[in-house]
Amino acid sequence: MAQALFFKDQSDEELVAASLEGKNQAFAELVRRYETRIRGYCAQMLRNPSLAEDIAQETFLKAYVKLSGFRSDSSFSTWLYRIATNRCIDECRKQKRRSFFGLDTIPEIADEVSDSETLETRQQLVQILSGMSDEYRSVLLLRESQGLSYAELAETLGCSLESVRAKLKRARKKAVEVRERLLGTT
Amino acid sequence: MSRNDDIFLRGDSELSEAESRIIEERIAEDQSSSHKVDSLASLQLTLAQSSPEPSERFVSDVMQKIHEQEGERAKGFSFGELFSQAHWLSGACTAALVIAFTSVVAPGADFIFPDSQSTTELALNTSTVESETSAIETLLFESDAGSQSLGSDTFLFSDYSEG
Repeated sequence: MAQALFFKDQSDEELVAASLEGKNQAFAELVRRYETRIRGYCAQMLRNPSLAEDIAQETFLKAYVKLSGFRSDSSFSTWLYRIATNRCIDECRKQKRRSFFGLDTIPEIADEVSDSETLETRQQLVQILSGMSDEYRSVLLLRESQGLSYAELAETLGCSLESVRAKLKRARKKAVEVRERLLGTT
Repeated sequence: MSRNDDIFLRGDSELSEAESRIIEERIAEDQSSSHKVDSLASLQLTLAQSSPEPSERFVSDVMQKIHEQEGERAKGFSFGELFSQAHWLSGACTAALVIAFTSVVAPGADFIFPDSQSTTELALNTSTVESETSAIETLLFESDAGSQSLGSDTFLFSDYSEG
């Protein structure tokens, strides 16, 4: 318990170093620190709550296994988002293939929403996100939902700032188009 | 690629103050233009609001899986160690056989075995050497017999060399 409290005050870098020394409580603190963000991001990306939980877990497991390869020239959070993004996009592709062959359908309702949201907004949001490509959805969610800066986005997506700007611009435009189409305003 | 585009490809530390300002201005421009669109602003608000509650159960599930994975990895490692020991044991047996063979069966013989030689190959080589040894013994026997028939003082090989 005292150890858990001690790790609470540590920086991400210190926790990574302690985890590499075999202190699992340090890694547990990293999971605790980022679990809501990663779970929320996966839920919005995949629109399937149970699958999103699995993928979020896998993200942390993969981070643990690959921790020795983590370079401190990027932040732990962007590295984690990078793993989650790759995993979510892989999963979306798998689902599309399954859906194409009629094996299953993509669930349309994500249950990870706050109480303040109305059902209308929630359904709209799910529909808007569903109408976008995986890449656009990920860049939009990382920026608007997860609050990543442009520099963090560039690190996470492994591209230049200019490329982030272009992707985000196109993703926003697409989101507006889908929303207006849904509302019948075009 | 224009000079302004190029600055987006370089790291922050490599940028001049003026270049950094251009990036900031262009990013701010994007931000303000996106907020002008009502539909996008409401979407942004909705996205920012949707975040799950913290879950200690999720943390414990992840740590449990890590624990299980470490256990499996430990099992895999011990098997690997066992395998490597078996490899060393086989190597040691091969070496012992070679030493025994060269010192007892054929002292002074020059045998070269490749590193990867298996026990079967060694056995084959042993039988070849054994058959060669018996052939030499037979020859010596016959030579002895021949030398005896020529007389006790006659030396067979010197006779051949002279002949």
